[in-house]
Amino acid sequence: MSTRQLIMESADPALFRVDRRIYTDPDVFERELKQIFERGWVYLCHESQVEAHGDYYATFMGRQPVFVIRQSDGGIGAFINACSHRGAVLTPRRRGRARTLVCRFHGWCYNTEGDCVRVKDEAEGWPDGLEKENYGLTPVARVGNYRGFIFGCLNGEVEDLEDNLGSARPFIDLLCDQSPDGLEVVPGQQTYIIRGNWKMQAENGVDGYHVSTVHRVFGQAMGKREALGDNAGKRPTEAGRIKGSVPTGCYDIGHGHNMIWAGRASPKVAPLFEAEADLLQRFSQEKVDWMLRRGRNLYLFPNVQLMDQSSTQIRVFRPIAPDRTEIRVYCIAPKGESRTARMARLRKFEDFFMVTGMATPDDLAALEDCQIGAHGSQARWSDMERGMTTMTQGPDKLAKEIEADVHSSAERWDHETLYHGYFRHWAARMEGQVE
Amino acid sequence: MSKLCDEVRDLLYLEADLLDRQRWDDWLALYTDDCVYWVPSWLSEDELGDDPEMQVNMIYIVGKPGLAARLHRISSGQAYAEMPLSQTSHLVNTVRLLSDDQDDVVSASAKWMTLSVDARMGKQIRGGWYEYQLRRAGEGLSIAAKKIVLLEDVIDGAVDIHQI
Repeated sequence: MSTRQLIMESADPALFRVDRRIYTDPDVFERELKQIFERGWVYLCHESQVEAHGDYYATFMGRQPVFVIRQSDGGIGAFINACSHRGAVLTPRRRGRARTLVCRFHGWCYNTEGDCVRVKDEAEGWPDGLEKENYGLTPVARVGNYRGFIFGCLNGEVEDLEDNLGSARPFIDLLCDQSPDGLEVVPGQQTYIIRGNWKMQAENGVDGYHVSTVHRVFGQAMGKREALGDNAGKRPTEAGRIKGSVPTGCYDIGHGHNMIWAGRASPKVAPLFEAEADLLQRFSQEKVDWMLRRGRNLYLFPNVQLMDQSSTQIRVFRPIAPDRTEIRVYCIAPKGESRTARMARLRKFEDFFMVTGMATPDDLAALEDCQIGAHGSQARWSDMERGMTTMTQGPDKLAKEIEADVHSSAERWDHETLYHGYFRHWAARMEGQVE
Repeated sequence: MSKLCDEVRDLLYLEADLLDRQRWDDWLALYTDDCVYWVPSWLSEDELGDDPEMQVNMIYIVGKPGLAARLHRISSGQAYAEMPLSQTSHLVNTVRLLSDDQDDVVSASAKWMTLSVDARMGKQIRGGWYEYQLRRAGEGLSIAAKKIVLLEDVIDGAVDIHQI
């Protein structure tokens, strides 16, 4: 089946529909791993997670195990996570520190540059002797660092990371510029498995339309907590975006990236607000307004979302099967913020963003129900048309303020036009086009 | 078995039973107003969080209003993930006193395992251990602090407070 047949679109009549087999079909899934996750840029980790020489972070690119490591010169490398000898994974943990990686199977050793530096009983047994220099680890073809966010690509023939991120960069900058000292991933994380396709997660994370239904109960629970005189040192939560009483919008950014935003009803309760004066010295009023007065969910194709709402989150996903995805969530925060702000950020993170919290379980239930519904192949098409006749091509006034040259703009976050470029990009990548 | 040990064990069993019977208000009444309810996250595969204020926890609630909010969500019939609400059965065992009844505060630990039956997720078994700080208030003991260690570091599905 041609990937293009899986998307039905026309301008007149205004129509944009997606065949639900994209979420369930094993052949589509295999092609995604090959063409998207093992051939283009994918997010790996944040540089603060590999801070010192030998710090490693193990993950996957498609099905291929890889690890990112801080090298002796301070640079960041990434390698296929398999011993050159017989292929055993080299990292005992998801994260750790090892200036020498020792394969626990036969004891071969590698340095942080991926060179093979020791082979057990090297002198004996090999028919023609063994040259260690021929047994270095296989590097990930490209590693890119955009302001601390580390990406990799298994294919060397790819555009530069900065070009791939394109107009998403000014939105990433809104996070990176929050502290002159940069950002850090806060200790503690959560990894969970969803019974849904990875694209269900990609779409749910930038779906403004569900917020006032799925998360209405979150708003009620917060209201109850505050009415009871919550004494946990937390500050009030922004209920406005859940009720839909604030300005909102969404962008189709290009390269498959997209974003929703919503005005903050009470920006002064945001942990970042303490930095307002400092931010205004460093940046324009318009940019500071973007940082402080609009919550944003930014999706970077294919596998990461950067949320800056009541708290700040990196959400990374890894496709496991058509209906299984592993999600890892981290709290990312400006270095040097006050203890009070950090605590508020963390507690709001736990409230909303954790699978043990009061909102994310409901997101999962909704997307998992969509996964079940997607098997109803006699009802084949998902409708993504909201906003088609009111969207504008190119950046709106707010996007122009931070020079984000987005593909299209919509003035409501519950419109669905932000998915169009994402699906077109997905289809192009599935057909083998590489930028 | 000491009288205090019996009293602690009875309280832990009662708490588990009230959760399984979904008697939320009675469950909440076991806690002090300034209670701490803490489920640490795993920093790595084998390292548990130890600084709840400055780390990401699975759950960290200080004070009864936070617990009441959680109960509101699961009992409202409005939460997508908890409609219908999963049925649970807690097993609490290996109850140990970690301190004597000093200054009206008792420390205790126990093991737990919960079977949850959920329309969407099917049958799930989770487990770990509890650490309690119990405070004597008038006749009985109240829960001043409960730390719940959930052994899963990769969580299959979602978890709420009646399931742990």
